[in-house]
Amino acid sequence: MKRSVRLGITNGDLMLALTGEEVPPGAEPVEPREAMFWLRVAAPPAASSPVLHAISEIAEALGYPFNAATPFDDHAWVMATLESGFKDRRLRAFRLSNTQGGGKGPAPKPPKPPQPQPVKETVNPTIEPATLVVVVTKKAKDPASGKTEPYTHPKRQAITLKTDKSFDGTATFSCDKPDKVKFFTAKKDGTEIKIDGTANVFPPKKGPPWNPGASISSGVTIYVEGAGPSAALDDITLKLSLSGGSKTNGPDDKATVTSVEVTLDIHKSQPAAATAPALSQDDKVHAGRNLLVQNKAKQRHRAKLVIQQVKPAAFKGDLVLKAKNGHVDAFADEKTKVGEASALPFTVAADKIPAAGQVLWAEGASASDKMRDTGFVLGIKGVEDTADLVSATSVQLDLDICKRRKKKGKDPEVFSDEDKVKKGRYVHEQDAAKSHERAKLIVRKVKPDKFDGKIVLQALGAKVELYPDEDPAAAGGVIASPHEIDLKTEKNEEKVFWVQGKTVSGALFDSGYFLHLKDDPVGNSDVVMMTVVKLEITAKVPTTPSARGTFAVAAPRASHDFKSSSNAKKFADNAPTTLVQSTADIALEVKTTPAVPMPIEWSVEDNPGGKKEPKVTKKAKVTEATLATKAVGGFSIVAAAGDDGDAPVRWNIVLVGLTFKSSKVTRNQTNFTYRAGPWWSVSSGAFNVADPTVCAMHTSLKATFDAGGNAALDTYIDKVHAGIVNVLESTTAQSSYPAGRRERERILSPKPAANPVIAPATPGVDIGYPILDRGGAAGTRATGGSTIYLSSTRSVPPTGKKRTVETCDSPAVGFSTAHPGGGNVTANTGVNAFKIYLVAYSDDANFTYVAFGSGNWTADYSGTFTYPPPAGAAVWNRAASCGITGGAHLTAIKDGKPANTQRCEVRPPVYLDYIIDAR
Amino acid sequence: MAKSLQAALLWLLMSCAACSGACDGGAKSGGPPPAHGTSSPHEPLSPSDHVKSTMTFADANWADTVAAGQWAILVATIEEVAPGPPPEEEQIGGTLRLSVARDLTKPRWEGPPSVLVGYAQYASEILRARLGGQGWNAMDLKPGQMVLVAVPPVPKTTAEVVGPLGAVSVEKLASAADPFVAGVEGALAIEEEKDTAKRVDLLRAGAKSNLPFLPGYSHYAMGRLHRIPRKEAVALELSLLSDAGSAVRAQSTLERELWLDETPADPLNKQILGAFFGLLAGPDEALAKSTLTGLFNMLECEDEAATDYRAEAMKDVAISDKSAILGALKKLGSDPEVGDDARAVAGVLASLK
Repeated sequence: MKRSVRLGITNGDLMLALTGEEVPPGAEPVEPREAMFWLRVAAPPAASSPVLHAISEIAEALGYPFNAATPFDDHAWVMATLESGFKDRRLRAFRLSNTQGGGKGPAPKPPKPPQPQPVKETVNPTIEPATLVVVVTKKAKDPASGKTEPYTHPKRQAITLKTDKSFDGTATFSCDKPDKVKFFTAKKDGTEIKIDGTANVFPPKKGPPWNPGASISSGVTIYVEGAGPSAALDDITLKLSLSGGSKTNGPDDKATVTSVEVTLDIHKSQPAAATAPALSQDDKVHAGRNLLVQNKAKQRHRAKLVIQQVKPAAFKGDLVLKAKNGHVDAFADEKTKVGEASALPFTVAADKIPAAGQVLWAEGASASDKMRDTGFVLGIKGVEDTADLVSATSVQLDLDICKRRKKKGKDPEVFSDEDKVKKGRYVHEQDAAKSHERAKLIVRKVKPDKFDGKIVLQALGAKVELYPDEDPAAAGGVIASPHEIDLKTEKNEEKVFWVQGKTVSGALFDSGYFLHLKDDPVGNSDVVMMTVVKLEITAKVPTTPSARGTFAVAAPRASHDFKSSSNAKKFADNAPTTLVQSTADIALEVKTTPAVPMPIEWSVEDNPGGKKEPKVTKKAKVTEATLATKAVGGFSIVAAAGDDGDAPVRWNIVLVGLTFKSSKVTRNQTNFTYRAGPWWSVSSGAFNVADPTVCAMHTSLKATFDAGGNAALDTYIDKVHAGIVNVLESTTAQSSYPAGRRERERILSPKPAANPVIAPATPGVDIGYPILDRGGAAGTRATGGSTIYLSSTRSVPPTGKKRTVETCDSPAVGFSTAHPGGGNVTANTGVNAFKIYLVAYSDDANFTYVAFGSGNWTADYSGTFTYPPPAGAAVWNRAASCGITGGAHLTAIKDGKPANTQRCEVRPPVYLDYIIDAR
Repeated sequence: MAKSLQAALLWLLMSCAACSGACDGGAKSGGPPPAHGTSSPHEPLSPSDHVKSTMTFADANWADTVAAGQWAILVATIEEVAPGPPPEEEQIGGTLRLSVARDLTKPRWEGPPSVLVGYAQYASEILRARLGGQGWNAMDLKPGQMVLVAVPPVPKTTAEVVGPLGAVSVEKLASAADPFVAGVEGALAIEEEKDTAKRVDLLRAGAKSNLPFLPGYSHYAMGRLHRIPRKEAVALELSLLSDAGSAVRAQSTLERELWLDETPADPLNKQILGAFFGLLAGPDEALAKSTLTGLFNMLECEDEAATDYRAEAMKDVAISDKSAILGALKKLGSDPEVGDDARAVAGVLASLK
C-alpha cells in the first residue's frame, strides 16, 4: 500500500496523498469536488493496470479491504472510498502541472462535458501477477535409463493472460529469456508452450493451438517453470501484446519473473571428509551417498553437506534444509560434540550463505529400509519445499567378535560394541599342532537388506589371519586381507569367519579387523581390536622337603617343573602330567608374550573330570596362582588372557588317588637271632617279603588307585606307585659295659669319620627325628621314586588299579663285644621306634610324595650277655621285653597329605648313616 | 689281578656286554634275567663299569629267585677273591672266581666249571654285622667257602672261565650237603612238577619240611604263585592249620593269598572264615592275634557300612563253639594292639542269628 500516488492524466499529474503526507513543492491542492472529477477522468473503470493499482493502493491506505479482489472487480467501491476520503479530509488531491510541460501552469479547468460522438473502445491486455518467483527444476542423468530427467519438481507458478474487454484481435504472449523459464498448459504435466510465434499467439477469436477453445478475453492461465537461474531479480520479462481487432488496443502489459536456483551438495568420504570432492549431480541423486549409522561411541565419520549460494545472489528468502526422513541427521560440526543437537531443520537466509557454501555434516541415524530411501532436501521457505536434494542410504555395518565358545555346540557369546574395542579379544599364536582356538568373527547382515555396495573386511597388521573354518585342522585355507565382499553379487547375509593368531603382537591391541564400505577410508569402520598372545604355563610341583627340616640333604631340585603352551585338550596331543592326589600346592605361573600387563584368568576344566575338582587360587599378581590337588581325575589347568578366558593354554593333569583296605601289620616275635663276633648283633628277622613269618614286621594292604572313574584315565594310574616308607622316630638302643661304659646309636651332623667314635673331642650334633630308614647301596637312598621305600617293599602287581603293597623289615642292632675303653658287653637295652607310611609318588614327579596311611611299630632288642666258662664267647640272653610291638593296621590319611606334613621323612641322611658313639 | 681274572675280563669284552644293574633289579622284581650275550640298550660299558655293575649284594630273596625260573642256581666254592674298586659309596667289592660243583637248575648252566662273579659288601664291619643277614654281607669271603649262588645262565662256550657275572642271590653253605641246598632243591622240584596232584603232594611235604626255605616257599607257591588251583590250595592250607609248624604260614597264606575279597559268597571263603574263627579260641595266642586281624580285614570291619557284605560273607559259615570264640574275643579285646579288631569281629559274630 502507498500513502501517496500519482495518476498520469493528459493535463498534468493528479497526485493523491493521505492528509499529512509530504507533497512535492509546487503541488497545487485541488478541491475535493474537483478532485473527484479528475479522479474519475484519470481512473475510469477500464483504466490501465498501473492506474488501477495506484488507486487501489491509496484506497487500501485509507483502509479499504480488498480481500483478494482485484481493482477491476472493486472499482466502484474503490472510487467510493476515495470520494469519502476527500469528503472527510483524510485524502487530498494535488495537481502537479510543472511535471509535464516544463513548469507550473494554471490549473486546468474542468473539461466540458463530452459530446456524444462515436467512441472507439480501448481494450487493454493484462498479465497477472505482475511479478513472480519460480524455482529451477533440477535434472540428473539416471544411469538406469541413460536419460537426464528432472529430479525436483518445483511448483509451477500460474499467470493469467487476459484483456479487460472483449478482444477480437490477436494477442501475443512473449518472454525475453525463454531459456530461463518454461511455460506449460497445466500446473502439472501438460504441454510446454513454446515461445515460437505459434504456441504463444492467440489468433482472433480463437485459442492457441494447445487450447483452441480458449479466449484471451475470458482469460487464460498458463504455468511458469524455472529452467535456469536468473542473473538478477526480475530479470525475466513476460509480455502480452494486442494487435488488430475492432477496438483500440491498449499498451502491452508486462510482468517480471525471477527464476531461483538452489543447490545442495554432499561430499565423498575420501581422502578425508573435509577435503573430499562432492558427488556429481548425477551421483548425488541416483547413486546417493552411503552414510554409516552412527554408533554409540560416535566413531562413524560424517559426510560434508553443503548448501551452495543461491542464484541469483540478490534473491532474498530463507532456505530450509531438512532430512528426508529419520534415517539421517545433520550437525553443525564434523566431529561429534558432547551435548550437540541436530542442526535440522536448518534455516539460512539466502544472502547469508558464504561463498564456499553453508556446511553441515551428515550422518546415518538409523538403517535405511532400502537403498537411497533417505537423504536431505533443500527448500525455499514459502516458495518451494524441495528445491534440491541429495540421496543417501543409511548403512548399518556391524562387525562382531565372539568370546571363547564355552561349551561345545553352544554359540559363543558376542562381545558388546564397547568391549570389542575397549577390552578387545585375545587370540593365541597358533602352534604347529594347531591346538589353539580361532575366534569367531561375524560380519552381520548389512542393513538395508538390499544393500548392493561393496564392503571390505581388512586386518589391522599382519599378526592375525582369517579362515573359513573354526577347526584349525580343517582344510580351508587362509582368506587374504583385505577381503572384499560385493553385495551386488553375493547374498547379503551374516558371514562368519574365524581369526587365528599368526604371530605374537608387539603390544596390546595392535591387531584386529575393520569392516568398512569400500568407498570409505579404513578409519570409518566398525572395528574389533585383538591381541595375539603367547602364553606359557609353568607349573612347579614342589619336591617334598625334609619333614625334620634340619640337617637334611635337599632334593636335587626344589620342584618338578612343567610347561605348556598348548591348548590341546586331548591327552594324545598334550600329554598330561600325572600327579598323586593331594600333592603339595603347586605354584602356577603364566608367561605372557607380549610381556605387558594383561588380565589373566585361571580356571580348572574337567578333562574329563573326576571326583571333586582341583582348586586354583589366584594370587595378587595375576600371572600367578596356586593349585590345590585334593581331587582325582583328569583336568585341564587353564590360563587365559582377558576377562573372558580368551586364548587359553592348558596344562593337562591326571590326579590319581589312593585308598586302601585290609592293611595288616604282622609283628613276629620269634625271629630274633644273635650273631657273636667282635661286633655282636641281634637281628629281629629276615628280609623275605614273600614270607611274612620270617620278617620282624611285615605289612600288607590292598590298595585301590583311582583316577576319577573314567576308563580313559586308567592308563595313567600306572605312572603312580605306592610303597612303604619307614622312618625312625627315635632310638634308645645301646650296649652296656662295665664301669658304666656304653655304646649307643647316634646320627650326627657332621658324620664323624671314625666309627665308633671314641675321641671325646669329636664334635657332633644329633640331627633329630624323624629319620628316613632306607637300606641298600648308598647311591640308592632317596634318589627319587621308590628309593625312599623299605628295600623289600613291593607292589603286586606293580601297576593297575588294584595292587597289594607289602613290605618286610627286620631291623637289627649291633655293638662292640669289647668296648674300646675296656670291658665286655653285659647287656643291651632300648628300642627303635619306627613309623611306617603308605606313600605314593608319580613317575612325573618322583621327588614328590604323598602319604595315605601310617602306623607305629617298635623293635626292642633287650637282652643280657653271659660268658660260659672258662672263656666262652658272649651269649645273648633275650629279655622279656624283647620283641616287636605296634598296631595291627595302618591308619588311613584321608585323601592323602604331603608326606612331610605327616612327619614322613623322605630325605637323607638315613638311619644307616648312624655311628656308634662309644664315649 | 690274577691271570685267570684277566682272561675272564677278555672273555667278557668279547662275548658279554650285558647284565648291567638291571640284573639285580630284574631279580628283585621277579622278572626274567636279561639274555646272556645280548647287547645292552644302554651305552656300552667300559670294562671297569661292567665289573662294577656285577658287584651286587646278591641279597634278593630266594623265593623270587627260584620262582623266576630263569637263573642258574649253582653250588660252588670260592676259589679266589679279587678285591676291586668300590662299586658304590660305603661299599667294598671285587670279583670272585668260583668253581661250580653242581647246577641245581640243570641244564641252565652250560658254562665252564670256572665262573667269575662280582660281589659287594658294606664297607663297615658294623653294618655287615648288623645288616648282614643276606647275600654277600652275610659271609666272610675267602677261598674254600662254599656258596649257593644264582647267576644268569650261560650257554655253551669254549672259554675256560666266564664272567664276571652279577649274582642275584647267594647263601653261605656249610658244605655241599647243607640243608639249604636241599630246601632250594625241594622248591625247584615243586616248580618242575606239572601234575597237580603230585605238586600238591610236594607242597604238602614241603610245607611240613624242616629244611630251610622250603616250607616258606611251599606256602608261597600255593598262594602268591598259584602253582595249584585255589580249591586244592585252600584245602591243603586248611589242613595245615592244624599242624603246629605250618599253621602260621597257612593262616597267612589263606588270609592274604587265597581269600577272595570281591566275592563274599564264595564257598571257599566260607571255609576259610569257619577255620579262622576256630583259630581264635585256639591255644596259640600269636596265631589267634594274626587270625583276628585277618578276620577284621576279610570282613571289612573298617567299613562300618559294609553290613551287607559281612552278612553275605558270614552266611552259612560253619562256626563251632561260638561262645568259646566270643570268650576269646573278649579276652583279646583288652589287647592294646588288636583290641579294636577283637571288638569289631565279636560284633560281627554276635550279630549272627
